Amino acid sequence: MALGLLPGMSLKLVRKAPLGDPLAIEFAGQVVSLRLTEAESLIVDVAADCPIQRPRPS
Amino acid sequence: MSDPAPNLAVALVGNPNTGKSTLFNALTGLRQRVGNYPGVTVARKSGLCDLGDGRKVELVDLPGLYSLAAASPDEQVVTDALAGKIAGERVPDVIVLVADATNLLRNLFLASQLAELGRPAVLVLNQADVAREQGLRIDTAQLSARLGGIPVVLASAWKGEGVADVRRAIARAADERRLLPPVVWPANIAAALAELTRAVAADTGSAVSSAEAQRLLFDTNATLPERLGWDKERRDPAIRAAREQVRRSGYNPLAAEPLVHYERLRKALEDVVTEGTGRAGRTAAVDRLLLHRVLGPILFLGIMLGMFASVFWLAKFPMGWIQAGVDALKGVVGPSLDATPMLQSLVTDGLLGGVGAFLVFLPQILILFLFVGLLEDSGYMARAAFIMDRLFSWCGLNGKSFVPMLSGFACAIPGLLSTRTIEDPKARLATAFVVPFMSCSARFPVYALMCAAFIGPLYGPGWESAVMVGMHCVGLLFAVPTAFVLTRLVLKVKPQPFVLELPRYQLPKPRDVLWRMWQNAAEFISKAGTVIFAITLIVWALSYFPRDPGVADRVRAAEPTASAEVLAARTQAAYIEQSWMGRFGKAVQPVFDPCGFDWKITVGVLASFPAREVIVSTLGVTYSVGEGAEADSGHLQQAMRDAKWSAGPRAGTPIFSLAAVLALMVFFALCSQCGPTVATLAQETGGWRWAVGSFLYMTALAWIVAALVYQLVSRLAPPA
Repeated sequence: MALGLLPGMSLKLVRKAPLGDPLAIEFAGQVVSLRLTEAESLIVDVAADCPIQRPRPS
Repeated sequence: MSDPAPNLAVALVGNPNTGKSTLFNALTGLRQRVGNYPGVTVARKSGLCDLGDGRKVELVDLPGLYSLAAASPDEQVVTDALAGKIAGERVPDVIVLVADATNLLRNLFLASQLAELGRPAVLVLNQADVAREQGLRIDTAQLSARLGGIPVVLASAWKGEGVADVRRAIARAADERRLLPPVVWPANIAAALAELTRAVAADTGSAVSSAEAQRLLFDTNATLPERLGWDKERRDPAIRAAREQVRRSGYNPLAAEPLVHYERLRKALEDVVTEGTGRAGRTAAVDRLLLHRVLGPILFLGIMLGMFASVFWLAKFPMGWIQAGVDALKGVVGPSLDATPMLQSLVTDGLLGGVGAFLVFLPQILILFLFVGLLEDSGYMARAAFIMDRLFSWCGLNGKSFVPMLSGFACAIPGLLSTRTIEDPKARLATAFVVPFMSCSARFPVYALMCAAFIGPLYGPGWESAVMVGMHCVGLLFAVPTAFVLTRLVLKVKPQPFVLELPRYQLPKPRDVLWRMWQNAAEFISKAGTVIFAITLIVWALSYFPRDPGVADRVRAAEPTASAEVLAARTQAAYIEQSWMGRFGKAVQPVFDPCGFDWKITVGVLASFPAREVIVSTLGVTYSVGEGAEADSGHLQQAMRDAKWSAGPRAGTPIFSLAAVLALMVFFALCSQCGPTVATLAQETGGWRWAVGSFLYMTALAWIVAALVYQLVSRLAPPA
């Protein structure tokens, strides 16, 4: 979140690492590596926590 | 230092990959000092910088970070240093915010957080040349006006552009003392913050700053409550209530902070930045190759092999020169002290040996840090971690553990120093703990001696190679479960997400890379070097004293017909037998009996705790083939093959049975027999706790596994 991945922001899955994890995602002009477990927790967070908010990382 | 006391204290803060350290080097030149913050393993880099108007500034380069949320020691240090909460640290008069001009919005998030501290600030938009190339245009006057009038400077530290402007801006900020305006919180969040501040004051009697109140409200893993001494019973409900208040207004309390800051920054940057072509196409093109599913790992392995070969093989030459230099010095100094044998041995074996013992690591350290510097500064290190992460994440390490562990196969010392590239403190500690398990080049002579003397002649060259390869894997086999258990059960640190920026590729700047090499080498010499020197001296004393002058006569009397050479070797053996080391070895031999070690091996094992390769020359001495024995010494191999148990249940059978040989090799594979490693581990983990823990754990593990191997093999294949 500090990296600026904000609600409603569009992001792009650039590529997966050779072993399928982590993922490289691009948003706001930068590429960031995110593990699958962390990428998953975004969604869990949204569903369980606060329906008004959209995905947020860590 | 001869310079007059600096007039001002200035701190350099910014995101990672903004070229902050390059700017620091450009501002301070070579007038730098590297130390540690008290109690933590965070390096403190400071230097002197002239403002150009006669004033001198103490510039501190704080660790790079994205946010003030204090989850790691690095972030904690930055928060504390800026708030003036570190003993002996001056509160910075001016904060210099270094931002990547090509990604202003994200970089200014930290700036917006820092505004809470109410310190005069300068904003440096670094990498302006790249921004220009991308067609990005930034209206600095407008930006300055929107940020409370603080100086805003365009610079390219890499090209040396704008560095003088930065100096002038610091001077201006110190005079005008303009502040970044802090973010305006929505009413309910402001109320929640006020309520928290009041609750802390009521419960602990201490006043928290607005910045601290925000950390309490927004961070889930802040260390602040413990440090405030705020009782958990009272703290938890208060924080929960405050977060509930935030939630009622429609904000997720854990997302509110970036949302509000980014909203404010978006407005501040409106019409300030004119977008160009977007992300540089070159980095994406290089990534298509370097992160390719098939080619990526191949290129990665190639780069790593090149690095390993350099550390392992290229370093041998300068290491040989250092060894030859020390030996030549011994040759010069030695004869002049012939009249006083004790002093002669002290100077040549103790003092010169001690200096050589840590100097010999320098080539490997310098070469590894040449690679680490190139890999990090070019942006490839993040890609390497990206490729390797999956292989390491399951046992609690991460992709950045690869370089330290690989270099551990050459030598643990540079491997340990390179764990600094790992940001996550838990993964860093776990990696440092398992690096000594890697089969370093000092273990090689031990395996070589044992395999050449016993495995080869008895079972053929095929088995000899197989055992050699197998021994190199033993450490790794135990390191992986160790890391797993350590990160899951022992280290009670909250796991940090492994979020890694894949930065723009950039040409490394030679000066920055050379500085990193030098700084690591200098710190190793000043810290670990002194410990290594001391250990060498102590072991020298233990194997020299007491020196009974009658020993030489008794040896001569026992073998009147022996040649001078044999006599000298026998005398050496007799001396070591009655030295403290020899007596101690005999006394503790029963401890090593389950591993099949006799007293001579035990003395060898004990003498090689400071440096495991010493076992070969110690065995040379105890088996009376003279000093300076090498692994390929035929005499030593023969003497060992001839050695038989003289008493006890195994009397008459060879000491070096297959079981004992395997047990000895396994023992050396696992045991923490390296003073420099223990000293470096202490240096890198900020205290002796982990170093001693590692020593005890590895030594106990080595003993247990060696005993198991000996007992098992001697039952399966009893000595003939």
